[in-house]
Amino acid sequence: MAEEVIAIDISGRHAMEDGTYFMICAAVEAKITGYSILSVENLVIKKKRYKNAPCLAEILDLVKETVRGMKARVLISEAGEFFNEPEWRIGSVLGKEVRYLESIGERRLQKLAHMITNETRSLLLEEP
Amino acid sequence: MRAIIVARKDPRKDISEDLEEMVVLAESAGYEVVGTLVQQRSIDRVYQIGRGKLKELKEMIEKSEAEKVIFLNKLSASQIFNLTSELKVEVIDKFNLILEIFARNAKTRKAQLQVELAKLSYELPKARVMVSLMKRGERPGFKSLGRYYDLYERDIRRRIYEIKRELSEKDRISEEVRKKRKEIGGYLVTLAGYTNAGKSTLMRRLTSKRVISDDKLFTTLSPSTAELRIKGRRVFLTDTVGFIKDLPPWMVAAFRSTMDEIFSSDLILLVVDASEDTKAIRRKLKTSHEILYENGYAGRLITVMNKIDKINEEELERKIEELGNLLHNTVAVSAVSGEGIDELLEKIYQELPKWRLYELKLPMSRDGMKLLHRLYEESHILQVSFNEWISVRLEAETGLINKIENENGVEVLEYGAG
Repeated sequence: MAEEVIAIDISGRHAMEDGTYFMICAAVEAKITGYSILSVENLVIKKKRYKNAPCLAEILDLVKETVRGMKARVLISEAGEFFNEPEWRIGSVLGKEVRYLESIGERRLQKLAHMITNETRSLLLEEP
Repeated sequence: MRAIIVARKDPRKDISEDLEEMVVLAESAGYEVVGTLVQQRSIDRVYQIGRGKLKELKEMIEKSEAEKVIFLNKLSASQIFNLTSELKVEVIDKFNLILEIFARNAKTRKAQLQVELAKLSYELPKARVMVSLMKRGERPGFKSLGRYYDLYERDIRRRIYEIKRELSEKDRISEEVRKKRKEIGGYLVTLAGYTNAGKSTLMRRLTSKRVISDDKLFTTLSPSTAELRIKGRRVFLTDTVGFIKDLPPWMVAAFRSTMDEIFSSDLILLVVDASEDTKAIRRKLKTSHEILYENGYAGRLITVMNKIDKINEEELERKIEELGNLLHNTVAVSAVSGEGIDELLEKIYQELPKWRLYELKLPMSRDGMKLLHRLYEESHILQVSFNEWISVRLEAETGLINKIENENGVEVLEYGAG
């Protein structure tokens, strides 16, 4: 059964040399089944720099900003992205149904989001 | 044998489903579960559970006359030793229980070797601690100056080496057989899924192969393969060992080659027991998806909702709706009654690589007859007529026809999609 979901990935959780945190958040809205990605509908990338390691509230703000305007009701991510907090708690803040990775289709989409944040961050850090 | 199941749980963690599964596992191993004991606390290094709970457990054992205690949590060698000394009954953990079930069901030489390898891999890191604990106090039979430690560990390592060598030879043969099946145009389909989903019953229904099935966990340990023809296409269907949550890495390693049978297939029929409640199906599907993904499976997939004879249509529809995000290419069947089997066969056929229609002219000679024999083996023959030539109409893979055309100079007429 096809379902429209948003996969979230955040990279840059380690401090840089100057002690700041440079984070990239990607939201990929796509149609998926339990096994495959059928189509990618939308992609938003946001960057943000923090002086200290971001807390859950800051992470939630970043995610909220990234998924703004996206229509899919379900947001999927790795549990660690939201400090392993229960899905319902994160969902109630974001106003979406949050689901930690379950199916292969979800894992594939999450991998895509992860590759996007990783590469985006590398490219931006390479900039002179 | 009477057994008590014990679990220590971390705060905020729900283990009710894990406990239910442990009871089923224990029953599959032949135990009668006479009680369960759960404690919520942080880990105790000596006994895993607290001293007060240990006392309660001791009383429970006396009262129920249990002969074994099975822990849901992984136990260290010293914890097993301490608990056994205190409780005066045998104490094992979940992984040992799984090993016991595997040992009971291992019928072939390969499965027996794999079980022994898993057991030794589990024992190896514990060997030194166990010997050290057993040597406490004066006991006969233990040599001095640590020599026994070395001998015991060395024996285990030597046996592991021997088993691995024998298994690698068996794996080489299995690999060659798999290759051969592919070469002759066969399509490899594997029945995978959580243990006790009904894979072996489905195998019997689809192929009439006499595989053993039972309403117990891990009845199938060794893969068994049977040939199946769907609209003339050759399919090799393999029944394999079932999945289970949190399978330890040393066990996965021991059963690597059996698991490879699953991951190297062209199509997986992911079987689930549709008669269970949605929560249990979700948990089992999640585990199955995780195992397939982690092991890099990239072939095709059909989700088979089995045992629909036990539920009504409305219930089935509701479950499909609720499990939506974990389903893909779903078909509902009953391996027992045969309902939905034709639909499943059609679905498998749709997943097969498309063949094309050809007409060949083979020479009317010994070589031509040899080629015809090969075509009967590796393609789907529609019509043969013997005149000046042997004219053959068939459906086949393009690669095979190209090969025959190049190697033997056969005249080929192509018609289009099969």
